Amino acid sequence: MNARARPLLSAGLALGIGMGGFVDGILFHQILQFHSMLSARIPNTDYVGAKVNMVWDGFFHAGVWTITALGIVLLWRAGRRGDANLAGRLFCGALLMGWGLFNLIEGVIDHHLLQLHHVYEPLGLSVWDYAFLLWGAAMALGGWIIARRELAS
Amino acid sequence: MRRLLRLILAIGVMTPTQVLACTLCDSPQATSIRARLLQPDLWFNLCAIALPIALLASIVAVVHFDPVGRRTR
Repeated sequence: MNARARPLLSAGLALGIGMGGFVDGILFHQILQFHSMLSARIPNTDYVGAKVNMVWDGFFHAGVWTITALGIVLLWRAGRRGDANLAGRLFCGALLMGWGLFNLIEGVIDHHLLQLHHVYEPLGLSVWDYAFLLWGAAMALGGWIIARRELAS
Repeated sequence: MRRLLRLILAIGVMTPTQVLACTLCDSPQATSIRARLLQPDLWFNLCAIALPIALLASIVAVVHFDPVGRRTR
């Protein structure tokens, strides 16, 4: 891979992972309340369960925040490098890849392997969990295609 | 005068009134929540939540530092 592309690519990946994590946390955990971090292990249907899940949601958000902060640092450092490729297509591609990777890795580990939670908890492991993976794969692939065009040009 | 104001402000900030806002601090529900959190599965839960985040961070590190490319060069 082109060494000049690495600084922006890694920054975009980290920020994309962060955005994916925050959309999951804000949309699915908080606004729609489809699931919480450990809702398949600790039901969040009573006060204590909901509060315990809220604490674990906090740990998840802290991790996602850390990766986002790392992305900001990497982006700032990429901007200061005179030789870095700062093309918009590369950055957008990396953002999409990061978001897609988040869905894929979080989905496989938390939803399927460890069964910590599922996309729509009342149904357990369902078509929604596979749709979540498909959504991630599509984003990662789309991002790769966009970034690759820039790398090839 | 400014020092005195700072001192009063510091004492005010350090009073335990903030604890009243803490739902995890002192109530029967808080005791139940703490008890559930601190069960033997605490470390499993912590590691399980950290695992995907650590994996994703390591992917970013590999892309940024290119350890494979460096070794072959």
